[in-house]
Amino acid sequence: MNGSDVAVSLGGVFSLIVPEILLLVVACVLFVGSTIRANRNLWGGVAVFGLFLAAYALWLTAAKVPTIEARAENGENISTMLFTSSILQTRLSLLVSAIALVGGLVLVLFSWNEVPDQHAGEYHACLLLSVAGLMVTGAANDLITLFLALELISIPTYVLLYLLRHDRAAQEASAKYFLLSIFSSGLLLFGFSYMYGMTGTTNIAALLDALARDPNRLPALALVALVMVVAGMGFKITAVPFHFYAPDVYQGSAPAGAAFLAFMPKAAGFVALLLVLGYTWIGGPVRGLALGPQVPILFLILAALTMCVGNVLAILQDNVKRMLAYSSVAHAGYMLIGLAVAPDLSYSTGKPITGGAEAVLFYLVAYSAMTLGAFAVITLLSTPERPVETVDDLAGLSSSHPGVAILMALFLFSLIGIPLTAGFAGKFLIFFGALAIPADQVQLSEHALWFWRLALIGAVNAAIGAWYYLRIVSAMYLRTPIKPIEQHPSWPGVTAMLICAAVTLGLGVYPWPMVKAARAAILSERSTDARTEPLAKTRND
Amino acid sequence: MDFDLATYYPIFIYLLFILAFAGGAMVAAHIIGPHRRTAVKLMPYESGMDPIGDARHRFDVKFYLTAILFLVFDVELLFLYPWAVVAYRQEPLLPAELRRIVFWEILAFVISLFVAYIYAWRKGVFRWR
Amino acid sequence: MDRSLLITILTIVGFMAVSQGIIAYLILLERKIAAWVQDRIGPNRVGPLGLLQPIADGLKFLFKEEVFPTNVDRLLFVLAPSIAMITALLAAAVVPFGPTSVPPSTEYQFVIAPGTDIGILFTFAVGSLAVYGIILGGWASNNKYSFLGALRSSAQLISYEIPMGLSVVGVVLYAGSLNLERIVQQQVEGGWNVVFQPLAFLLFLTAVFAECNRLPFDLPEAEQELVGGYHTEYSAMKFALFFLGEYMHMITTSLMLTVVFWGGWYFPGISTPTSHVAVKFIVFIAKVVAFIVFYMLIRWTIPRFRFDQLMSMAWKVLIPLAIANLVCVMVVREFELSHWLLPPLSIALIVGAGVVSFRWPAAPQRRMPASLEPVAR
Repeated sequence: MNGSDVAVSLGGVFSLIVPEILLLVVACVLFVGSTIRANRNLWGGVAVFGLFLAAYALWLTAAKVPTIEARAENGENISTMLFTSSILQTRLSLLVSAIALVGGLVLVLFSWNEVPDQHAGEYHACLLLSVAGLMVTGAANDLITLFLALELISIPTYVLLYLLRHDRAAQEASAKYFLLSIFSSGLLLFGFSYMYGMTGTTNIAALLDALARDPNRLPALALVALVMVVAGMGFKITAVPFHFYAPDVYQGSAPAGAAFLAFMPKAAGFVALLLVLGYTWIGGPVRGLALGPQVPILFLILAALTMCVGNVLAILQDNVKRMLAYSSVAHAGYMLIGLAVAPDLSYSTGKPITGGAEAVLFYLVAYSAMTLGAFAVITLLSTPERPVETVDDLAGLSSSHPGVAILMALFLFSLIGIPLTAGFAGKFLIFFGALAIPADQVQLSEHALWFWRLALIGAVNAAIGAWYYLRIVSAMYLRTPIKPIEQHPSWPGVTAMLICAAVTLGLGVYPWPMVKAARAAILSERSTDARTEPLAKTRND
Repeated sequence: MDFDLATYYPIFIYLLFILAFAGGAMVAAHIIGPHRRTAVKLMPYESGMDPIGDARHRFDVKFYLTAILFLVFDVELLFLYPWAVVAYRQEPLLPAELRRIVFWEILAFVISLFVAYIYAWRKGVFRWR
Repeated sequence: MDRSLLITILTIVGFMAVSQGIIAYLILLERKIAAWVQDRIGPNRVGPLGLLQPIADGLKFLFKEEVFPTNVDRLLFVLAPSIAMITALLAAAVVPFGPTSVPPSTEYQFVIAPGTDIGILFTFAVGSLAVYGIILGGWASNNKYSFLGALRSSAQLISYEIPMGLSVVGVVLYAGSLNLERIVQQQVEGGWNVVFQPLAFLLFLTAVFAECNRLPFDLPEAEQELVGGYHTEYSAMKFALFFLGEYMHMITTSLMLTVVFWGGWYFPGISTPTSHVAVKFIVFIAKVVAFIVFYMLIRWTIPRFRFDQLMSMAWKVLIPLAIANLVCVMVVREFELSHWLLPPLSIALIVGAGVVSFRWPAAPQRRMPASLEPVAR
């Protein structure tokens, strides 16, 4: 490769990350500005402006630069770009960027009145930095870029957790998160170094290509890399046994901080797993490390453990934030089913069925909407004098705040998985994927049996989950308040709640556009033609 | 310029000489000098008072902040040196097409650091009380 | 024996012997200058004009009692002065102390390790290790004065290292190498760096003064406040090693100033590439001696800073100026503007900094609005 190629590819990279750069610039303005003026309305407004600016830039970029999938479909030779560029514009990256921007907007809105004036600028700046980090995560095509993107999410998080609240619990929470998070980054980096060592490249596409040459004989080191990467990411997505920090940290930090933790690292972790293990399209569905025979088993065990531990422990909780922490653990377990199933789905006979990795993306969006919504409700009802900590604190909400109670019930129903909510659509896609492994194929029959059992475990867990979510609903509607809630939600908070509610309902009632987007992000158009058929069939069923 | 380890041998030889010199001086002084210890002579000096407590106390967090900022700027420096060497030398190591991009990148790097610097200043990190 | 190895060993032995001798007499020179500035006579009892004084001092270091106070950490206590001296001497390994040529000539070499590519970086790296000697000494002594001195000193040394490093980047941009001989060569071809980058020179000069713990930056050992600072508890040879290290540092930095900014052996009209080695050597040494005398004069001219002033100076004056200077040099170099643009830019920056500091003289004391103070716990 000569100099001009490098120059072109470098220049190309810069044009792809204009939205992220804009976010960083706005974050710089916020950081410096926060030392001059202490005004939450001003800095909140600037942050929202920054997000819209980035969204506009993303829109322009998406319109101007064709995604790599589109290039491939047009018959362009993409291999040079695929194997040299550290940032790629893919459908996945566009989808993740959109999720990041909307999620960031929701987070800015509902922490609007929760941050102290003194820290508003810095808080929003940290938030924008992590949004930028999530956007880069989706577009990363290089282990180093990916790691930097993940750190761009983590490092502001440490600051952000402590900015919201300064009591001892928050101190403990942020210190705990900091220590465990850098430990997990270390594990991740360790895994990355093995991947680099096996293949001699940090470019993800090239690396997966090298590993996929002979899928039946992955080097033994690949297993080490796999375990390390999954462990490192497992921390971010709170998979059991890497979940143990979550309840303490969620409970200790302010509700907005907990919501941030429930959304940002989890989204980044799943997207990074999809990228690094080779679930995404780049050059064909499911390749690289995800091809290894150990992957389904590994994720199967992780998924079953995570679901069970999360749900069972959530029943025992009285504190709402702690309960939501365990619930987020449980939902990570549902999503892990998708990761476990995806390789087999892709193997089976060239007519893969919806489920697997696409379902993970869909579920991620649904989960983010409903969890952020639930946290938004708690955030808006909490005041320093009367924090919403336990289930009892929500008692009688239906009489004091009927509108908020309905929204909260919607989010909780969605978390349970009641039909016509996003949670139902997500669970349906996930479980359907697990049940869709054809049992008539010799090499898959054993797996199929296991995935049936996994789906069964999932269903049982969903039923367990219903118990503790309904407990909150019953407290809101059937009991009288011990001490009435007087806090009246502010308009930014209400906006945030309404956005979450709209997504939750919208994805539940009419999931197809999102399903299509998720599938397009994972698979190219070429291969999806064959896949719409079974989906259409299920719609008729 | 090719890297040649031979260029560095003199430094190692020199290091040996220095170590020998330092060690020799210490040992010689230890052997030659008198040793007459008394309790008062061995007491830490505290302006003639009996020392109160241990000297290894907790100290101001300011020093820690300074150290962190030093790390930030020193690492910046480490990035600047390779660039400074390569950027404009006669026998170009940097492809001509990349020069302008690299220049803007370094400028962006310096500016982003300067923003951090202004933030730290405004936050009062450089204020010694 | 290999001829180049022989030359290397001879150079090393010569350099060490001469530098130790020079250091001994520098102390005498320093005392003489102090006496002269203060209208005294100075040391004059040992030998004619006190010329044997350094030898008497050296013997005294050797024959005095070594004291290990009760609570010291003995290993670190011994290690600290060694580190201080070793790093100071080692930093000089790549610095020319006489005329040099590119590529290294076979006839003469006035540098211990000629042709080292990392040059300046090596000097900075090893030189900054000296902070370990000081902080370990302060910690190991278990003495409050030592500890405070060591803390202050480490903060000071690391703070001034940044402007020192930043100011040289501009020079490196023109030389295209970190090798000090090449930097001299570039100045022979293009003129002294001090002419084109006076601001960088000033920054570097200030920073190396602080790095050497010389007045007005001698906070670590401020006698009036801290008795002796980090070396309060040290005696005999260990104390001498600290002092050797410090004076060695002074010599090294004088060499650096000469080489990096004042053209090394090059002096238009007197010492040109065609001149005899002896002429070049004399010119070089004259420059170095001028710097050393300058060091000593400054010591008796400018009073010591307060510690907050010292830190403000590094962080609020030198670093922003160094960054601004770097950006100026960068822009001039990138867009291939005339390098005669650089001196006016430097002067403009200096004047600008002066105007700013006169317009807002109370800036260091200015507080943030109370509303921006961190939230009370």
